[in-house]
This record gives sequence, structure tokens and C-alpha cells, in this order.
Amino acid sequence: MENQVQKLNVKSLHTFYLPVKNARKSADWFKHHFNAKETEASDNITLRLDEGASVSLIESAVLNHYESNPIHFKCNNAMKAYDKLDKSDIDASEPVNWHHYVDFNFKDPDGNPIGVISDSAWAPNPNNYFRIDGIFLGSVDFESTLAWFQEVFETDIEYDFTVETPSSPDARMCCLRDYPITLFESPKSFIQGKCCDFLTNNLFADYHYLIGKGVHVGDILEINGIRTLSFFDPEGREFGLVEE
Amino acid sequence: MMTISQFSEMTGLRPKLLRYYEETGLILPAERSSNGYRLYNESQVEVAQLVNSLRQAGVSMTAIREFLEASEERKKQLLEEWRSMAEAKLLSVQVANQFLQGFDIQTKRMHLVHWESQKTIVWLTLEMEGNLHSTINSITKSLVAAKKVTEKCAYIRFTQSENGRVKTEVGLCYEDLEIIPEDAEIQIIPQTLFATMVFKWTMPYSCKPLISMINRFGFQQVGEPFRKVIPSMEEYYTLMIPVATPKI
Repeated sequence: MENQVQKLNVKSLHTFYLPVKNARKSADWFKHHFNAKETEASDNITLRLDEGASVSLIESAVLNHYESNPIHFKCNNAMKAYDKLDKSDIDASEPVNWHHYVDFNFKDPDGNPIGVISDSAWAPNPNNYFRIDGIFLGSVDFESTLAWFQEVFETDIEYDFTVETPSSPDARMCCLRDYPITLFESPKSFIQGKCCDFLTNNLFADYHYLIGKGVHVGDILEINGIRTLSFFDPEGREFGLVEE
Repeated sequence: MMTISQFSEMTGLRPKLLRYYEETGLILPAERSSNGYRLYNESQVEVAQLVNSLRQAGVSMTAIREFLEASEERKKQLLEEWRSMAEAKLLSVQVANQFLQGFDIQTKRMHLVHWESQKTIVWLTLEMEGNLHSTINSITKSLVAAKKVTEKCAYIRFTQSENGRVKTEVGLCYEDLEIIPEDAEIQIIPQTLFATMVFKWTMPYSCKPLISMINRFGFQQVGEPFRKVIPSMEEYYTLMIPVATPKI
């Protein structure tokens, strides 16, 4: 135990916060097209697929700007999902099928991009769209933010590759080992409000850990029986830790 | 007749090398003079140059010896074999060059794996019940325990069946091909160089890292990829993309 490196007890992505102009209209749209379910998790309209993280719709006149999908819907069969989309109501890209890994993107009514991915190896789920996993964070100060995440989360890069974004044909994208976080170069990224919550199994330990790392951390709060705190990355983005 | 010095000048081969070829039985002097000097005849000039050229091309001494004594038909066969080997070496060097040109200190997880000899994989259609990698792991473990397979791993591929559905197949290297199920498909995979990448089964980013890496390294895919599964590594699999095979 003495030799173990202390790390954050983050297990998974809990909630992704998506600013939209009309939360009710957006919720109905997601429910209609993607079979998302509305939960009573918070005061905001919150949606879920069968598994994984929730999406909390935050009504706002100012929207975020994402240069690449911040989240992906995992599904059993993305080709079938694409074929069934109501193209008159959904702006979606052509699917890419690389040896049964399939992915495409769509935009919600506010132009927020979201990805849809499938892998024939995944266990079939009763619903085609079944899960939301990691978060993809566009970073304006990519190198320093990447270094910060590696230092604070005590992790290293699992995959280091490039993707095409509106700003660059070769924007660097790095997936962090053991955490559901991928960072990518995005000079035009704009995130206001809370970005997301991560689920932890030891909020108090994580609170003291973050303090020890010199991270800007808010107080531990208890909201609707759930303990939570906020912390901020060097770009001023707010993240939450949630312990249920 | 020529002395070794004269023969050396005619062939361009140093006397030390000619003496070595003599020791190995490849080029023997036509005769010895009364004072023991080596003597060569004109017809041996061509042979000596041929031997040396084949050595420069990487052909073994044993193979050259066989070639020199072979019939015309056998000489043609040997040449074809050597051409294939040279092409395989060339491909390996090309791929190695691509890998090194594309590699930098940030490169993670993209590796090269060389199957130096052909491999026979028996593909079985899998009736999926629940989790794929758990199913594969239990099949592999039981076959390994029963010593029916030569490798402690399995391969997975997905194919489109006639009705458009995706079929899942598991590939195993059976010890004895006589005992394989009747509906199995046998695939002989030739000597192949693969670009590989390790993934978690549950990764949230599809195959974008892999496609990005393949483009960056400039690899050309030469066949269908498949996944390698090791029972002891339940969370991960290795995606194997064939990027070079010798021409047949």
C-alpha cells in the first residue's frame, strides 16, 4: 500500500452537460430519434441511454463550440442506426465502415456534434443505441493542458494520433490511460459552464488529493443526497466529481 | 589455363575468396601444376562470377552448390524460390522503413509482427451468447487444456454473410486437422508482416487511432484484419492488419 501511487478514484463519466437553447425541445428530439430516456436525476432535464453516462441539457442563450464530438453514442449497429435516421430532421455524416468498426456523426438541433460508433465485437443490447462512455475535450492550450491532466490524474497517454477538425487536418488527439478522457487540439473550442461530472468511489480522498496537487477545488456539497465537488483545469473549465 | 592470379584478374574475385570457394567445394581448380599451383580454365570464369553474384544476392553456399549441379528444370525452380525470398525481404525492409519513418517518441501501441512461416488457422462460426471475449476465452482455455491447439490464443474475424448479417468467427491453430469440425473453414496464411495495435474491448473511440496511425505510417493493407485474443488478457485484444506478404 505504501508504494502504491495515489490516484483519483474516478471510475467513469457520470454526466455530460450540454448547453442547448430549448431543453424541452432538445430532450424530445433525442428521445424521438435515439430512444433516450428522461431521468429524474437532477433539476435539469437529463437523458440516458441504457448504460453509461447521462446527458444533462442546460438551457442557455450561449452555446458551447465543439470542433469534434464531445461524446459518442455506442450502438449495436451504426450502419442500421444511420439507415433508420430521419435525414430530414437530422444532419448526419456518411458512416465510415472500417472492417466492422462503424462510425458517423450527427448534429443536434443546436448544431452540437455527437458521434455514433459500433463494433461488431460488442455484446448486443436490446436497444440499438445503448451507451455513452468517455468525454472528448477540445483544448485551446493543448500541450500544457495535456501535461496538467497527466500530472493530476497520474496517468499517461494510451493512444496518440491525429484527427481532422475544422481548425486542422492533423489535430493531435490523446486518450488517457485508465480514464474516460481524450484531449485534442482545438484552438477554437469554447466551453462555458460545467463540462462534465466523473463518478468516484471516494470523494473525500479525491478532494484532499486534488488539494495536494494544487488544483483549484470547490467545497464538497451534498445535493439531493449526492455528494459532489467541482474542480477546474488550467483553461478554467469546470469538472465535477460525484459520489453516489 | 590460368594461374589463380590470372583467374582473379579475369573474374574480379580476390585470390583469398577463390581459395575459400575452393575450400567449400564451389569452384575447384581445373587442375594443379606440377609445382602445386592452382590452374583454372576459361569456362570457369563465368561460373565463378555467377557464384559470386548469387552470394551477393544472399543465396546460401548450399543452395548455390545445388544450383550448379541441378538440371535446367530444377535451376528454374530454385530461381523462383530465391526471387520470392528476395521480394519478401524487400517488402520487410520497405515496411521497416515505413515504420521507422513514421515512428516518433509519441508513437504508442503500433507495432510490427512478422509471421515468418505460414500458419494454418481453422475458422469456426460462433453462435454468440452474451459477451464475445468471455465466450472466446472459455473456448480457447478448454482447447488449450485439452492440448488440441498449438497456440494459447484465438483469432476473431467478422464477415458479411449472404443475408447481409455479420458473422463472427473464431480462428484456432489446431494440432491435428483431422479433428476439426466439419463446417470449419481452413485458411492458410502465408508469411506475413502485420501492423498491430492493442485495444480495450470497451474503448469509446472506435478505431480512429488505428486508421490515423495506418495513414501516418503509409501502410498499405494487403488483406483482411483480424483480432488476436489471449485468455489471460481479458480486457484487451490485438488488432492485426496484414501490410506485407511475399508474392506467390
